[in-house]
Amino acid sequence: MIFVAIGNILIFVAVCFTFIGLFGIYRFKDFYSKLMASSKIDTVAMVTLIFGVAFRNGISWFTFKALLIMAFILFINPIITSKVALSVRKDELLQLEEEKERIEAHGSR
Amino acid sequence: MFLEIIIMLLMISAVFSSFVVFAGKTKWERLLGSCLVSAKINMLIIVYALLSNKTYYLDVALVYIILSYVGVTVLADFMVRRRETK
Repeated sequence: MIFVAIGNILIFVAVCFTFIGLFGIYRFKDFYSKLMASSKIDTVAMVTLIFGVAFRNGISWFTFKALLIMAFILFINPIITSKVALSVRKDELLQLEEEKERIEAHGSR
Repeated sequence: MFLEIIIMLLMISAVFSSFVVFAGKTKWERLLGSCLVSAKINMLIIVYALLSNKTYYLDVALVYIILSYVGVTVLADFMVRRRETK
């Protein structure tokens, strides 16, 4: 019974984390800050939720699968974030290069 | 009752994250919004699996994670490469 209560509390905390992350995404102005908020909060909320599910279910096949999903998320979420950040940086550098070429071709104006 | 309320809250947060997709200023913010929505829907699938006590919904969640990873990675790569070829 106490494990079910702990699981419920953890699941509720996970939902609170998602709302805090949404607040951060609407509040931050810079793109990289938004990326940071989204990645951190998604990882933390998902891990907390899966621990809550594991606490509610006890030792079973369901818990094992949930922990497998958690392992996947801990691998995949940082990869997604770093990939998006790298692409944005590359995009900005390409834009700067284009601007420089344009200025060189048409004079300093 | 508790899990139904949790599912409702997660749906509200998914709707608010989909606003990021519609109201994003740049294309990268829209990509970030789609990433957010997929994470929220994934959490929703896990809670629904707990509610209905069926194990195979967790397989759906696993496949959904892998597909969202592939989608975001390929889109991010594609959006840079399109500019390079111009």
